[in-house]
Amino acid sequence: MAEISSKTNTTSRMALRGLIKIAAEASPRIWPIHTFNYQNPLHDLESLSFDDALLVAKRRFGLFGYLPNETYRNYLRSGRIHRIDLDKALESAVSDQTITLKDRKVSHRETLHAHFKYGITAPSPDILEAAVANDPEHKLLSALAERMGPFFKSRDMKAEIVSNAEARRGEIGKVITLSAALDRIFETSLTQDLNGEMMKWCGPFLDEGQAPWEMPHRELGFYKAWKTLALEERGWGGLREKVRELKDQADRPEDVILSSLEAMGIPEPFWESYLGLHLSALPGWTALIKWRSEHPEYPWQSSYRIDLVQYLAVRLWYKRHLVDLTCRERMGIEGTLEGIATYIERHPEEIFMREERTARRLPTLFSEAVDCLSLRAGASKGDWKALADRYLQAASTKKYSVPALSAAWRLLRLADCLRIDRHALLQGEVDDLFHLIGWLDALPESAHGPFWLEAFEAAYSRSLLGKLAPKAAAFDTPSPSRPAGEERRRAQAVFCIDTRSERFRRHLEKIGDYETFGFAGFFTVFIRYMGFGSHREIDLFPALAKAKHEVREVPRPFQEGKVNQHRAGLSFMHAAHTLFHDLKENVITPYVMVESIGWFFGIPLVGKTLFPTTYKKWTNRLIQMLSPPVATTLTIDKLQRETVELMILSEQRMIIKEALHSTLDPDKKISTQAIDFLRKLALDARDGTAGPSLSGSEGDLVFRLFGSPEKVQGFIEILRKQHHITEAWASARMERITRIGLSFKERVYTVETALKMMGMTKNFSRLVLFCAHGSASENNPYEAALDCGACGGNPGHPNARIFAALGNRPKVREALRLRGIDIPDDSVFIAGQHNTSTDEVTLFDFEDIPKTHRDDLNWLIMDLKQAGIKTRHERCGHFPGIKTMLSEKALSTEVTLRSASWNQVLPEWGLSGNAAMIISRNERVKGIDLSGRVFLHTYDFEKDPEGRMLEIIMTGPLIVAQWINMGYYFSTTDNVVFGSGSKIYHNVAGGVGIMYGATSDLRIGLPLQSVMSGVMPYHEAMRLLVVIEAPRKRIEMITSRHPILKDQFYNDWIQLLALDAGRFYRYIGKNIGKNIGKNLWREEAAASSEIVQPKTELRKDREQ
Amino acid sequence: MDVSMAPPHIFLGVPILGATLGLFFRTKPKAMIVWFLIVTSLEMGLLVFIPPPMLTALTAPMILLIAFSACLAVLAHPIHFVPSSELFNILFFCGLGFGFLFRTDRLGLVYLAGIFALLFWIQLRSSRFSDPKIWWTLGLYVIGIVSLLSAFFLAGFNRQIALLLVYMTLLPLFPFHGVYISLLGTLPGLLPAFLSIFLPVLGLSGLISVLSDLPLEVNRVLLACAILGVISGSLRSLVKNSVPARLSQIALVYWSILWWYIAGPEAKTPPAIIFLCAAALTICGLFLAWQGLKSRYGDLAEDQFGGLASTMPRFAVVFSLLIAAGMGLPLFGLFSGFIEMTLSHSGNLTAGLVIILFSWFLVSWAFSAFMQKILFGPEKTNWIYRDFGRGELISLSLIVVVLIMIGIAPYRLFGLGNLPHITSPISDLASWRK
Repeated sequence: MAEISSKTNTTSRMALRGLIKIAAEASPRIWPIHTFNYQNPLHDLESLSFDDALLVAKRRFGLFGYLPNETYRNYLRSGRIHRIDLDKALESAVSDQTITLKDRKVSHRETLHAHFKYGITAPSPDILEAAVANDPEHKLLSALAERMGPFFKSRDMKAEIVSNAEARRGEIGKVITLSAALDRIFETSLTQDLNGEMMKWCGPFLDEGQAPWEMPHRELGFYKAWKTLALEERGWGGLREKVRELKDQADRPEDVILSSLEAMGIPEPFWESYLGLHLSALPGWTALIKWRSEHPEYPWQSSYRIDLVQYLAVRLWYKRHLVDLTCRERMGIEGTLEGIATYIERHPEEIFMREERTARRLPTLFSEAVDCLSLRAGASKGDWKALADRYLQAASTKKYSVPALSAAWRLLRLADCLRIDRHALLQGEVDDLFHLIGWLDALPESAHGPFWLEAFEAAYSRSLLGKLAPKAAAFDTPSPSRPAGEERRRAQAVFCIDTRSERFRRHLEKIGDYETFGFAGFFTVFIRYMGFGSHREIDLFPALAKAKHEVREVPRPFQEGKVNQHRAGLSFMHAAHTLFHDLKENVITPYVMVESIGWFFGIPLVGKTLFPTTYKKWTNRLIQMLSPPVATTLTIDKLQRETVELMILSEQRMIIKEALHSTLDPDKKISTQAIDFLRKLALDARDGTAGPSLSGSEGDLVFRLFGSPEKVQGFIEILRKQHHITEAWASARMERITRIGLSFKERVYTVETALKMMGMTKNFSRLVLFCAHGSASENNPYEAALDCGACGGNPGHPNARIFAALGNRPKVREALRLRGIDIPDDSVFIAGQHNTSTDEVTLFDFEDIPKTHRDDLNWLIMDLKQAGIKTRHERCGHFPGIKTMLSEKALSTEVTLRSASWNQVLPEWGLSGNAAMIISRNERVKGIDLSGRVFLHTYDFEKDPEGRMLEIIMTGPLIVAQWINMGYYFSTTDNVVFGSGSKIYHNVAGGVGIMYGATSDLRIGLPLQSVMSGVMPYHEAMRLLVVIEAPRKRIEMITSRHPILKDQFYNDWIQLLALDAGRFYRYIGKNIGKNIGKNLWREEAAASSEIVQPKTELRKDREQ
Repeated sequence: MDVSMAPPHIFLGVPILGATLGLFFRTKPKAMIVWFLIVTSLEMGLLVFIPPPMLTALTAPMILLIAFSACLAVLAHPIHFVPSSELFNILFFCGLGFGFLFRTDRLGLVYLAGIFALLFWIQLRSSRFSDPKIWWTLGLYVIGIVSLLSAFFLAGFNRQIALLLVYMTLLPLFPFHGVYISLLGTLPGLLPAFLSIFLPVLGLSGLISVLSDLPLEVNRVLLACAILGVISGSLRSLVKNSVPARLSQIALVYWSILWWYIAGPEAKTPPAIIFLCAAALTICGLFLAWQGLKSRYGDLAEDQFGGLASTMPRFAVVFSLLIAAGMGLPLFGLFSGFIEMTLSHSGNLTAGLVIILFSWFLVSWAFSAFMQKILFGPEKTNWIYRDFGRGELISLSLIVVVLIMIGIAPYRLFGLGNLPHITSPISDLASWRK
């Protein structure tokens, strides 16, 4: 406690919490992996422009926000990026300047083009000399370097050493942490040690049941649990003594942070950036902690509390002591910012030489000399100065300076690219040569990303609009809906907006007379769901929303016989599973177990490896044999309050009766009045109140049962404490039960909202399919990433089943009729689920389909199968290694194998390739091949004059699509920072995330295999292009009401296009500051003769 | 001319004449490389025409190894570069070396003196005198040359000791490591790769005639020096960050092991030659690989590299095979050579063997760290990667193939079966080793 400064009070704690919140803004958040939810990892930076946010992320996480230039160049070579798009993107950077080299005019434009196309950058200085010497043209290069050399200002290295020290001094605490500064100077591994320690504590604390031995004291919260357990540690490094002092450490994490910051001498204005740097050190673990702290209702969080304040308290405690120890050992000073800064200022040569050594920039001879001096106990300032002088002297005696060689290299490459006579460089004016170098320097390769991205997006945008244009013009203003009374379609099908549904919809519409719709796969049903036989509740709605209802899957009434068998089977399997794991995780038993039943595991090993499909089929059969499947239904109806009260009453009566039997003689007859009286006493009792009053006839009955008021009182206590017969418990139970199901109003509202949003208000077919989607894969921690994003990373069939069931209710239909939605009586809603790994569709609740619709259903099943085959065919062409078109059987085998094999890293491509979202009427996209890259949301602006539905779409599905898009974007541009690397090294940590190997930061984002195909990305990283078919004014109005949309559109996170009156308009609202009162839209040329086709499409064309 | 009449002169003359004629191709790099290849191949081919009495079972593999290493160096030379003086020097070394191998009399020492003079001159030209270590190295040269001169004039035991000192410089033994390390660390181009084979070969050839006549006490000292060399080399190889320095230290461990064997009782010649060939070729291969990297990226410390596994796959494959050979994995010559040496030792070798095995473990560790730094890790930005060309690749692949051949073929196939023992059984030595 002595450490707590006088400043530490409630106000400063509050202020610190606020500061940490701000510091954590740049940090991403991640959900536990079992409910993988896509989110823009830079979501909290969306208030900045896209480019600015990338700069912040580059500084904080070292993020590369654009693809490598070489990848863009490959796109340019393959025609994926067109020259005209690059021209357009470069317009702002190009001037009209030209120079003349031996009669050859060279323009700024062509120089920049060559720079972009070929990457005219010299090799890095450490290898430049060797690269020049090894170049076949080394004579020319040397001559050129000699010519230009004298014109480069010679470097004053001594001044650079001093300015380097000044710069370093200024950086500490603001740009880098104290430990990072020490690591850079002394090549220590403080940051790594610190990270290792944090991983050691975070992993077990955040574990969600994976660890056989749980971390003790988790219920105390992260900080207190650490404090308690760290005391038991022997300590590490030089911290043994310090660990013992933990006993006297403050109980509040804020106090530890404040005292640590104070001890390290971090000035208050730096605190925010300093804490931010610490939060960025392990972005994965902090992302999960950030998410947990924002979800206090999450069961694991409510039991074991952790937040960024506690995390920082532990981190800074270690940090403070490690820095202090290192400073004392290496520099003989206290570990404070000021102390380190002063040392740097006073020892510029030592700092310079040491940093050069750490950065591996020194030649071997000098790096060994630095090592020798470091090891020498009495090395003085003079020794370091002498070494630095020797180094500078060696550098100054080089024949050619680095800038001269670099210039020569680049000029020669430029001459080759522009087909300029090489010798013209030697004969040309030096000024002109410097002009060329200046042009290249003005736009170095590190700054090419934004231009490439713009050109890349423009190419795709033109391509997409080219496809949409004919339909846009054909359906200019009149509503495309069929007139009433026209013949109905064979069936209608509503699919999720997911890009994977696009292919399936297209093929289904081609096969027969089907009309399909796109709608967010949760179908406006916000439920917390528990499947039959499961003990885990899952949230089936987008991450943006909150649960409104609870739904349980229960057996259908006629299944009573099977239910017992099913439950018995489940219990048996559960027991076997538990026994196996207990044996495996026990200290002793594994030794015996391996010998005795180890061979048994050869069966799954061989089966899963060599015959995955057969093995899966047979294990499924075995499971079904042990626990036969049961027909189920969902608890959609809300219970009346009276019914719930009765349920609770009978439940409590039962409990009391059992308690009485166990307390009294089991043969004793107990009347209902006595039970009710005891229940009343238990509910009315308060802790610490006097004993019960046993008056009246019921009182007599109870008295006779127990014999004395004291015994009654004791029993009441048992009822309250052990059996929870209390008012509070009853209320909680009541509240819980009444949350189950939907009220009549909610049912009507749910169906109405969804149907109106899709513009599906008339011409209903006899069958209307609501098709959710899910995926199937083996040994895939990222399974949830392949499921429905709109359903919180889960398969969405419960939502589809609920929606279909609601839509089939006659009373709901009656109410809908009054609201303008006329569903004919012979229209039947059915639910299905599209397996995106195999493209098979499973239909649910056949029991609810009338016999009259069997023929329709058979047709639908057959056509869904056909559509699946065609989708599979199209999809398989994109898997690497599948060069030729496979037969139908081979296709089926291929996809089944991918979904069943435990060594398959690519069961499906998921949403990889997503690039656009179209919110429009069906007719705008009908029959257009969008290559499975577009989110399709059906919306009829004519049926939504107030824009209420569009507002829901723009603030819900559109944002989710953008999150998915950005998740894929950053996983592709920088798979190290915001991706999760190769699946080969993945290690599921605590059931909450993925680590790389045995210990690492938690990985954010998608695996490499989900976005890359060989060395080129499969996912074309670009920002989401959103096309909304609606009046521009309406879009503007909705945007102005929602800051989240303003951020997206103004700050270039999304490219927005409106399809208004048959024309496309691009939103240029980002210039709103300059264009107040002016038009926010610019008409976009839709059709173009130079539509760029992606490589895959070209391949398909060739094959045809 | 009947080549069988004057083998030493022909072997001496061909490379020197080849080097002289090579001057005509100074402006045509490709032609010059081809010419040098012809000359070095011719040297190997000449071995076929030499009648057995002229060419002993000991000389033949030594000549072949030197000629082969010269050929490898020429093959690995970048074709677009005008071959620098290093290739001429290699041919001069070959000529002088062959002269020494054929003549064990005083004329042989003259050839050896020529080699020392050439080495000294090259060393002086390429050394930085700001580095204090150079004076220690030059001192060792002086010891070598003085010993050589003494051997020329002395006789009997003193001559043997003088010769021993000379050969300790060539086949480096602690504390005479300096010359070898300095040559491998500072000489330009492909010379280190060639010399890494050339010098130990000459050293062992000379030693075989000297060791059997030495008294027991000297052998004991040699054994102690060998063990110290193993310890010193293995520990130093762990901490070095410069590639040539690390490779030189590893080579010293190999040569110290060889010294430990040949200075021990009942040392047989064939295992020593097998081990020498395998170790020399491995080190030569690694130096050739290093030269390939150095010519592309400069004289960088090993932790300045990284990511070559993906950017230079052809290099990565042969390099990792050479590392595997260097670590002494089965299938490669070093493994079989070492096993052959330990099995053929009749004495009680527990103490020395334990130290050697532990040192070998450290060397393997150094090798794996070395490989990891070079091949793996992230690619460097703004580096221009260029994989190994045909010549370099053939050169290294040949080494790998020969190493495998040495590793799997019985040594009698190489005609080494009937060679005499290097040292006689000495029962006293066993007690020392306990």
